[in-house]
Amino acid sequence: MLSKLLGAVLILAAFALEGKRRSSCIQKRIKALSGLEQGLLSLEREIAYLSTPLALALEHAAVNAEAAAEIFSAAGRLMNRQRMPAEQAWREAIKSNLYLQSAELSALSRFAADLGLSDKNIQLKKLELTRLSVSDIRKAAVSSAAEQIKLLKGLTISAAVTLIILLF
Amino acid sequence: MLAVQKPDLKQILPYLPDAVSDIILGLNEHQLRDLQEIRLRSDRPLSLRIGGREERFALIISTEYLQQSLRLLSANSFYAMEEQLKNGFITLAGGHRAGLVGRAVLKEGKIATLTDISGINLRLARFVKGAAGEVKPYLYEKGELLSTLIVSPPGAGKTTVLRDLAYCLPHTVSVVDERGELAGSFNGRHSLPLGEGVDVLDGCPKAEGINLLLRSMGPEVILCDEIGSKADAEAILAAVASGVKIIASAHGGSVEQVIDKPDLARLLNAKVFGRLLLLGVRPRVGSLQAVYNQSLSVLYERRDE
Repeated sequence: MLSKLLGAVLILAAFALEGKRRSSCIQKRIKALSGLEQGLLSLEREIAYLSTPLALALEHAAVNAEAAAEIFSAAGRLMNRQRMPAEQAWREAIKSNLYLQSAELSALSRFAADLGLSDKNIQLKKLELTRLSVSDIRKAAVSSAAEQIKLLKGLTISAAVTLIILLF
Repeated sequence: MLAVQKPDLKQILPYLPDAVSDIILGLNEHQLRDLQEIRLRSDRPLSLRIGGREERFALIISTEYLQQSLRLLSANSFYAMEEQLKNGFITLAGGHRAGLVGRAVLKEGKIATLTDISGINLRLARFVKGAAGEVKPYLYEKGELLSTLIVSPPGAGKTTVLRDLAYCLPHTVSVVDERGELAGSFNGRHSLPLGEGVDVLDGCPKAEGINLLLRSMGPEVILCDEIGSKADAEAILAAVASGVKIIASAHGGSVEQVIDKPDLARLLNAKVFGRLLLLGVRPRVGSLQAVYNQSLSVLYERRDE
């Protein structure tokens, strides 16, 4: 009896942990999207007002990008140290954030094309467009997050209870 | 005796596609010493200007090569070069200059930027100690330095001679280095040798620069490259009226071509320049072809041997 009880507790704990990990991923994705928005805004300002060279502008943007800082600093680093083209460096860098999903990855990939290689007006328009896309994705993620987390909690507990009943 | 500095390949090769770098690394010592320009034209063979002659190679410059070079020249930041692109060139570390052609985007009748770049001309800056040796004796009359106009077609050594004059003239010299070519200025540092009494105003339009230096630096001589506008002419007239000597260069293949330019003609008519020196590429780049006095009478003319 004691072993069955211990088994049930372990199954419940494992499912609860998995549920927590998944809800944490949702939160981290929102933070990453918010960081991206801040970073892109900062990059826009660096280019618009200071005409800072892209690699340096990316590193400066990383300071304000919080949860997405690594994306900006990695892109700047790859361009500076490995002489990588901006497009390739940006595509490599966005892979470094594990919480981003296909919607935002697609918007960020579109932004990579011609990155740094057109005039200021075009660069700024592309930056703004990407930032607005990321902002829309973040808003949608925030509004669905509470519901998703609640659903996730319910599902994990139900799944755990079902498994316990079936096993014992 | 000329001491020709070889171009520093470390400063140049990082801007070029590997296939172009390989060809340059394969040049012999003499070719490398005389290498003046690297021309990349879309869908055309690689062309190098060596000792005043353009040599074409088998390598065809693809759009990808051109894009790669452009990306490297602008450090992935074409937008940051807009001010320079209005003038059609980018100044690089070491004073080298990348001239660009493509489609000009106009704003209010003036070039706002260049797009669809179809050609890059990488002009290599170098210091040639003694390059002004042949011209220097003609700059003086009765021990007094004369204002001088140095004229030559593009690529015939005007800037190299001016650079050596900035190195060797024993006067308080101020240089208006609008394109960062004379002092090799890049990010506030001069990479080419200058004389001890030389001040450099970098990146400033010549006319404004001459006026600024007159007010602020008390120069005996002002050096500037490639004059030709109305504003340049007015600034030079003001400087000469203040007792400052001007040594400047201008594009042209003959005195007649200089006279055809109204603003230069105005300076010649005002007898601003005590000397007009014509340079050419025979027997070598920067060779003195002819010397004229204030009245444009010939003082010296090179005879073909």
